[in-house]
Amino acid sequence: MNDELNGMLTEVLTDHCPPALVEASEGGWSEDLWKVLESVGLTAVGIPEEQGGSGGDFDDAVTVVRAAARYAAPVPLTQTLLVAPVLRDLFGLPHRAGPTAVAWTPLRASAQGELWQLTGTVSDVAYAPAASSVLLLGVDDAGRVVLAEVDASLDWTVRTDLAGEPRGTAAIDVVVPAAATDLDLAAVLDRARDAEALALVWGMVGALEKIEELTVGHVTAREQFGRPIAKFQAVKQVAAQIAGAVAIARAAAMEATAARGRPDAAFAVAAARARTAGAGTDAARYAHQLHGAIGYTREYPLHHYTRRIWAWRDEGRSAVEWTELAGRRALAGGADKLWETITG
Amino acid sequence: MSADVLASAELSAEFARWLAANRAQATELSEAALRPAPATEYLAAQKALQSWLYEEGWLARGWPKEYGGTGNDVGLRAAIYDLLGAADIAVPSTVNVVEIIAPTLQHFAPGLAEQLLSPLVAGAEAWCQGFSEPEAGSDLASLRTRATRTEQGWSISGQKIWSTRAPGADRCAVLARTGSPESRHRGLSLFMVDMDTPGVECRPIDDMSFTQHFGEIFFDDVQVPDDRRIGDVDGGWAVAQYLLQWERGMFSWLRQSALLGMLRQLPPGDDAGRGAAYQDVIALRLRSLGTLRALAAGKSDGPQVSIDKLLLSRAERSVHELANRTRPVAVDDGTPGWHERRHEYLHSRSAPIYGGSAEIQRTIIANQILQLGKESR
Repeated sequence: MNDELNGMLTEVLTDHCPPALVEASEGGWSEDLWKVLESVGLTAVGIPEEQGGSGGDFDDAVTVVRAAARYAAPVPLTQTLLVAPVLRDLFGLPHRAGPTAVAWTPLRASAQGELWQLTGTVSDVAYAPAASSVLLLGVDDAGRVVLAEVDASLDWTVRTDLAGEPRGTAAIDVVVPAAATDLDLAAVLDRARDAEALALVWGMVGALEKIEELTVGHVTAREQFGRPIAKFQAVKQVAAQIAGAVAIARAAAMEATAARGRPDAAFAVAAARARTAGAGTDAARYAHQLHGAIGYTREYPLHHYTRRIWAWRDEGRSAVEWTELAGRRALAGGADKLWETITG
Repeated sequence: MSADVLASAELSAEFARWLAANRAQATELSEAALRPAPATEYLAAQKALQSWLYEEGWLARGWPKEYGGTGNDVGLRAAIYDLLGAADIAVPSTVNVVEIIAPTLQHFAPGLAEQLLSPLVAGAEAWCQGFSEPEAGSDLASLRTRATRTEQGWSISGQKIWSTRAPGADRCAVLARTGSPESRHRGLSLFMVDMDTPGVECRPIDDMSFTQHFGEIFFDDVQVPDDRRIGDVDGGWAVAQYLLQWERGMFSWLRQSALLGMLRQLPPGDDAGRGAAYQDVIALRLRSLGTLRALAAGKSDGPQVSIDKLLLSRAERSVHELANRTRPVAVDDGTPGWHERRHEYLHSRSAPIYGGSAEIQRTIIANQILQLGKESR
């Protein structure tokens, strides 16, 4: 991890993303926070300077997403820094500044001279109402896949998710420039979902680190029976389970990051996503158990992190699907490679 | 002779005939009662359902005639809750409180019971209990709300928190310290306090399931007559223990019926998880059946009911995790009922916490059932 970058993030987020801002942004987002992050270049980390980004590598972008999750920052950094760039690279689209949303529902595409007509409905687009641009996928009658980046000022029907983040659904009928690829839709979605999975894994690590911090703080400060509840074996052991779950999530995320570019990269991402889902479920449960009723109130910030864990855990593909996918990917290399994939 | 906790064939048939004629209204009032809403709105929906079911006769059965019932019969009441659950009709959550406080009043203050219980059973009034305090949650015996003798009765001052259904409640059963500050559980007494008494202030607490299920109550020199005392002076701990077996026992019975209903209504998928969740609920149901039969026979099972509470926590988690896997609540999919499902999922997180946390229940089982002795300090 880049310590200098992490220190800067901690400073900016402590000042500009207090719990009150997170609570006030429930169901929406914070444009003010985005502007602050943008002014210091944090909304374009990992994107090369020659493309208009802030520079830095993939690990730096991960550092931003992880830190933002530690503050439950209500801004679309995951999509902007880690998902949109992968899709743009896949189709050769240029970087575009500003908060970005990614629409996963493929639209119907048809060529109109140099342009493409995209029609249909995109649903549950995370942070759609916050975005300046949205990435749209389209498939034509021949199965060719195209990607367009359009102005996000569409007529969004906004709903909220379990994490309290906004989601938009909109009818699309546009004629726009779009880029094509030789990959089929399943391959495109697999690559993009893997990028999203790795981003969510790091977001969950950040949220879990905060959950651990809040819980340790609570059990050492809260006194019952004349002593801090951390003095009880039963409490210590549940707290230790949280530490274990966070360590598992962090190790899985680091391995999936290290595997980028390796033949087993897709397996490592699926495994990390499945493993983090389980660790997140456990840690969230134990954290609430140790917080008691206090952690169940809106006033205490724990729920912002546990709700994000429960929502991100099931985002895109469920843990069951990721587990099956990890199995299929592990087997894809054939029997000779299996041992190496699992142990390597 | 009391009815069994499982409905007789005659009772089931009578209920089925009634249901056939009243299905639409039952469903409408039940759905309204399950809808997450601010405290007063939520309470009004509970009372509407409760008073209708009372007028239709179902929630009057099994209560003593003196409070508008058909004769005291715990087994009959439990059987009716089970019939309602099996028909996917919510038992209003105000009934949970009736089943906690009414048997306690009957046992420890029959005069007060006769005087006060009719409107509670009928759903015209809603009550709450004031046990936990900011500094006395799991360690209930350390509570500080003080009741001091006056010429007319008692003066109560202090603060209660996590009181379920307190906002909008008409009365509150308040556990207060009447002994010395060091007396712990030996110096407590229970009082029935009217919430409109001068000096009582109640505020709802916003909770993470987007409702206001509980509140905090402030008492500032609140005058309470001595005839509102439930049980002996300094004898409140015994009253609370008696009360808690109803809170844990009857509530577990009410929930197992609701959880079986949830399992029935889930979309297909995850057969293994469904089987596991079903087993957890059936384990709870069988255990709870024994507890309810003991309560109906007037036998106290004491600390045994902590096992029911642990089984309940486990069943709640299994069923709601399964529900979330078969139909994730992560994103509002625009279908009706998402807010209800989100609320149910988040609310299920509180099961191993409310009414005594799982850690406290396990400690009770270890210390009082297994006699393992207290943890050294």
